[in-house]
Amino acid sequence: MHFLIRKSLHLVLVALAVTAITFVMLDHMPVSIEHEITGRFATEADVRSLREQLGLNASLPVRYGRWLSGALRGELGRSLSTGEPVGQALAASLPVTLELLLLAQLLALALALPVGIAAAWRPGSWWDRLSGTIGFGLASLPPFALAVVLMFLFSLRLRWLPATGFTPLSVGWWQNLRGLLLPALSIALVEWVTLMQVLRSDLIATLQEDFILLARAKGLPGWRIMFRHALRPSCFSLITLVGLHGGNLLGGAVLIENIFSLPGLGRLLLTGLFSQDYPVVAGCVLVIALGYVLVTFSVDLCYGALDPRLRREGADG
Amino acid sequence: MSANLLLSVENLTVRLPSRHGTVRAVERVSFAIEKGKTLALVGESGCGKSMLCRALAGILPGGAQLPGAWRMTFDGRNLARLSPKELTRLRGNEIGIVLQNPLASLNPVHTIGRQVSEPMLYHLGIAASEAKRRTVELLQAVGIPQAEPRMKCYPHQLSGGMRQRVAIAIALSCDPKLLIADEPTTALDVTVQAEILDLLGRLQRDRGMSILLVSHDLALVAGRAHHTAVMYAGRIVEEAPTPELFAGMRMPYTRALLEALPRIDAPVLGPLPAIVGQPPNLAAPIVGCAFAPRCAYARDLCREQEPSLLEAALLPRLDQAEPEAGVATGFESLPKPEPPRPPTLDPGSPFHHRYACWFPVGEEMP
Repeated sequence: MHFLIRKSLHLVLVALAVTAITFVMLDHMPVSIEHEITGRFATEADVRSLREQLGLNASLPVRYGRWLSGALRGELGRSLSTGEPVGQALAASLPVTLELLLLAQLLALALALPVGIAAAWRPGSWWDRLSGTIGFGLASLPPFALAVVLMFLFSLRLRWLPATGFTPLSVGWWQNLRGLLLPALSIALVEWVTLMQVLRSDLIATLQEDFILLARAKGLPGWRIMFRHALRPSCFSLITLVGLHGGNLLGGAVLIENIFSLPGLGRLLLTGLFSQDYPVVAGCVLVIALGYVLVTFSVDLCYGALDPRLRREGADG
Repeated sequence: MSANLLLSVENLTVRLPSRHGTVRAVERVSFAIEKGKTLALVGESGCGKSMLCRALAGILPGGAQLPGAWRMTFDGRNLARLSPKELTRLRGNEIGIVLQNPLASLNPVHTIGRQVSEPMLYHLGIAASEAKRRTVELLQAVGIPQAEPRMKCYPHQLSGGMRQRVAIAIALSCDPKLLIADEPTTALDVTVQAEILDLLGRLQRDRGMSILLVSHDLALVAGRAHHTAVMYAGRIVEEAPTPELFAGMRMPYTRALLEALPRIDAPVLGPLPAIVGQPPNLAAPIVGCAFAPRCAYARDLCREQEPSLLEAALLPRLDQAEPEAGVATGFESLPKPEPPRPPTLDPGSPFHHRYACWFPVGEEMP
């Protein structure tokens, strides 16, 4: 219980800090929303009246205070440029990003787990060296370059998958999956390599442990030793990395979302940034910070599930 | 071969490839264990005891080789003839092993109940409820109080002594014929050491199993083993029924090993007589007796030719080797380095005093 309270407090502090920093930074951006909206031929009077209308004349702390009091009541304000409620914009874009993120992590794990286990089973074997080499090559590619290659191959040449666009899950899961497969694959094909490498090295270390020797002495077959005895204690770095990657993707898949025209959180954030749209950016940052804290929280929970020694008994930890 | 033998090992050599060359961890070792008896295997760290245990349990590290014409017979079966699958059925089932470090040899993420019942479920194919019942019995048998609730404990919630008891329960789970205990008490307090060894003795009487008890402490195993074999540099250098060994140690190494131990019943006067020098590097070839560089009694012959492990009764005594040599005036009358041909002896026979030494302690020097 103490753990939960501490985590929530942590979350509040993080949310306050990141949104405040967002306001300060946006204030120093070399763009201004009023000029964006009124356009190049606006008169000085037009701009001034718009500033008045948008409430931009107040000082920075006052503006932040206004936003904060709204946010506490659950109102994240309206976009300064489109007038759309920020909550609505977030609700539309967050599922896209979450789906992309989940699918990318699943694909990365689906590649990393079998390859990493097989490589750790016989370190130095042809399979180990082959997977290491291929992985190294893939990891040195930036995801957006891979995205272009994949798009060329699967959309333009083979015409298997759509190149751009997003179909919501409500329309049909297959349509939805088709649109997300290439973007998720561009992320996963780069990301699985690090997952595979940490899993491989952790597994190799675990397989040296005395309890693995004892499992062998019990006369258990190799697969059983690997899956029942070695895999679970070797998953810590893997889980940490999956969490970190997932957290990063929340707001960091901007390039991939742009290449494949996915209306995700990253795109929303980027548009907001370029037009100094305070409420939109603050809303996105809030969601991303929330997501990060949730991810670290669930990674902590996973540690406890994996290793009884790390389970929290009582208040400390 | 005697029907009383559970395990006999002949001419076993274990080589381990390493960065510094091939390590000859075990070198042409032969010994046997009788049914229901305990053989103690004693030697310094790094003398190959653990590798010998791992060879017997079939858990050598990857890349290990067993060259030469070795032979292992377990309960009437030639282990070399068994398929890998049959060998796997043997491990954990008929041969149980307790590893050196109880703190590291239990899986930290599984409950002890699960770890004890795992070999039973796998080898004996019994139902989960039956396995659970037997697990409780086993934990009680190895002296764990409140066995039933303790089954849900994880290893880190138990003390070192308790963990070693759990490790013993795992080794015993399928009622093995042979229990290999590789330094089962090294990591434990002195009081717990005695408890664990007493426990092993009691379990042996109850179950009639054989025990291979490995230790670096000659005095510790003295009262608990029927036979004692002393290992040095991968070789067995002296072996005898324990009382006979203590009545007359022939190999200088055995004696040095005993003298290097502090005695609890005598005051320590000055430093303990440690064995000078280092054990030999097993990656380098050894010429002559492996102990010669550290041996106070070593002579030229010791440094040139390796003595075989021979039975005391069969070894030609030096003063008998050349009975007509005239006046025994000194070293010049020693027999020329012509090592006596080892008579064909049953290498599995553990019932005699055997030692590998040209000039054994306790025999009159010419």
